[in-house]
Amino acid sequence: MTRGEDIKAEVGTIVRRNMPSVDVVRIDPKPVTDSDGEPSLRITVVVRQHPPRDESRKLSDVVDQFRTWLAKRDDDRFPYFRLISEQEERELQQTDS
Amino acid sequence: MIRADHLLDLAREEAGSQAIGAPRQAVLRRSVSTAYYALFHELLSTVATSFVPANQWKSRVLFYRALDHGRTRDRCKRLGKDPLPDEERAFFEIQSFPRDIRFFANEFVRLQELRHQSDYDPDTRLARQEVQDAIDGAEQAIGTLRAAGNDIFLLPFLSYVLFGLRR
Repeated sequence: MTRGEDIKAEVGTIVRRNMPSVDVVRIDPKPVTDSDGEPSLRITVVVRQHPPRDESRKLSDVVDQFRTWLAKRDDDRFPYFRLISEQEERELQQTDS
Repeated sequence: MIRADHLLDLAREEAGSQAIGAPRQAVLRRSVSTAYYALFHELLSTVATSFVPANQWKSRVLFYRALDHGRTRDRCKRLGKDPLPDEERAFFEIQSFPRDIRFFANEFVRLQELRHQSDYDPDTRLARQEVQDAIDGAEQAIGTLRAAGNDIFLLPFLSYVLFGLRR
């Protein structure tokens, strides 16, 4: 199983490569079981400001490239990414579901 | 057939509510669900129209209803990998499907999980922007599937989504 620190480093590299204007504040990878019952990764990327639409669409490239990186390590977990700004994160902490 | 475009419009209306203050979580959850269903119905429609001629309406309906959420997601998970899992690589004799088809497959998995969280996980909280990203993702994936009409990999992809590999 790939280590959390390696995941953070690789996600940071891939996000910056595909979304150059994004200022990454924090990357939180969390091993979870998805709704299929399969081991997976939930990766929250907290950014200074939400990127413009053209750039946030590059998240799919991040998923693709990161899956390939995981596969090379025999790690089959599907990575579910969440891109969220600091402000959105603060607002959500005060939101009722 | 159920129009994916109309579902996408509805998802945008739900997410773009101009009410004062933060949008209600219930509204954002509905929007995610609607965006996922837009993608799902586009896939159903592509399956039906790819395999059955237009003058065979009842057969089209049967193909339209042939996919279920769980199996489709499981198969998309496998075909979205680069390289493909061993069994699929041996069967298709390719290293991986083209990027556009992988994109569709991975987006399907991502949106179905988000829909599941939105519909069933009381702890989930969604930001408006991430819901808009999800709708954009669904729209992009729908566009990709439509543009793949002449792609030689489309029918193998749809066939696998329908039937999988016999084990």
